[in-house]
Amino acid sequence: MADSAPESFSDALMKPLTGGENPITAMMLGLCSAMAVTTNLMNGIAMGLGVVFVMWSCNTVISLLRHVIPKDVRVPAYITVIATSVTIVDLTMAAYMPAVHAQMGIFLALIVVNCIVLARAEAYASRNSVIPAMGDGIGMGLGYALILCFLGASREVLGASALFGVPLVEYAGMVSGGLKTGIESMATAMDYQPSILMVLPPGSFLLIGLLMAAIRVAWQKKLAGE
Amino acid sequence: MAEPKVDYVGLTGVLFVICFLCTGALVGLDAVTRPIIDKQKVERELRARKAVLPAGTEKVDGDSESLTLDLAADWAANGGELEKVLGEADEKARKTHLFRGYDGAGKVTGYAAVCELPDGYSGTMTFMAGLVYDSALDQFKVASAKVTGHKETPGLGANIDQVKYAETVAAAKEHRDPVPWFLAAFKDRTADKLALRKGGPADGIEALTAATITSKAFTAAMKRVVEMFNRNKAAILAAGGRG
Repeated sequence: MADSAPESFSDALMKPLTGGENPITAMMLGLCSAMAVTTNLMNGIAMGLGVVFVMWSCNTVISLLRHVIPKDVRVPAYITVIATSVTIVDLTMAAYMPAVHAQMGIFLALIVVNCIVLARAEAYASRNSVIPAMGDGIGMGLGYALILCFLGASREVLGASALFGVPLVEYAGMVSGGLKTGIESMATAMDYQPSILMVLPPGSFLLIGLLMAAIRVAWQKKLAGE
Repeated sequence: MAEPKVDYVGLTGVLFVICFLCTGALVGLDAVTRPIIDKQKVERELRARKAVLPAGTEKVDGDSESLTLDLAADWAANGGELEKVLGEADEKARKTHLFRGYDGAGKVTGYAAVCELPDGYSGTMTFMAGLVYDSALDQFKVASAKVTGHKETPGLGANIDQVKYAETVAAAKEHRDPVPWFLAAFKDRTADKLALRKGGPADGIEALTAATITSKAFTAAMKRVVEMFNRNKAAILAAGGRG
């Protein structure tokens, strides 16, 4: 497959983050896993990091093999590489980070069918050299991870009135000095009944829709201003 | 227009090489991580058993050291009830395995049993029940319980696993596993005291908010487990500790 015009590592890295090409909000890829896994912030972070690693490794390998893999069998070849990478993450996490692995459950294995990985393999890694492909992989993964962190944090705060598994009210107790008075009054406000809707699927749909709308408005304003 | 010739041999060859290399990498990683993962699995099981046994338990029966309880006679009289607490394999074999906990002196502190209930809100729930024998009452009572598998709705039935933050802090200080608040209420209850406060005695167990079905199903299942232990009291106590 013919290579596209060459791009630098930093360009490829930053496009998904600040260049309006976020995989979830702009390209609308990987929505299922983004919504299913983000019931709390810790899950979002773990999944995001897993995807960053998988995307970086898959983009690298596929870019290295891009002149070797024939066009007709490219999808089976990409999927084999992706599945291998995800299994490596799965086994490594199970052996060395069992608590996180137990929390992730089946979502780790589902990275194989996450649209972003295959889409970038096909659209970018197979047409660019290794360094930009690495940048794209890491950038896309980080873009995905950022959205996941936002979703995870929002859903945990709104749906379980906690953050990182600790109830919000407790955070006030951890601060000392003058800051404490201000935080304490905030904590009384934070002692609210959480909305379970937010940790269920409809809540995630609502949040993602609102986020996408907000980003689009901001982006269009930015483009109009240029 | 001539159809382009497809080089099947070449395509198959490339795919074969890719698959071969990927499989090779995974076999290597598996060889390194499998022993670690297996060891963790065993440790998790032992820890789960220890968590439901009373404080002071230092050692627990391993998989091969469990006390096998033959329930054939009990099944004849109470098959319907037993069917609702034993896992499928135990049901067919009409027996169950009890894991004993031992204190520092080697005396049996309590018994842990792996159980199942079929009537949770979203289906089967598996749990580990820890029971102790109270010689004063000549009955078994609950030490603790731990839900090991469920598909309940988050925020509702899934709150059976919910640990209050104060408990997390206390458990960390005392170097033990935190106990979910719903299950903590089961401690020291004999079979006749296993009922929900809702529609029952004033000293009953508090149900999960908006999850009456889950609460009822679990309480009923625990009651069945304790009753099973009480009916087979003689056999369990006669077996003593491991040989």
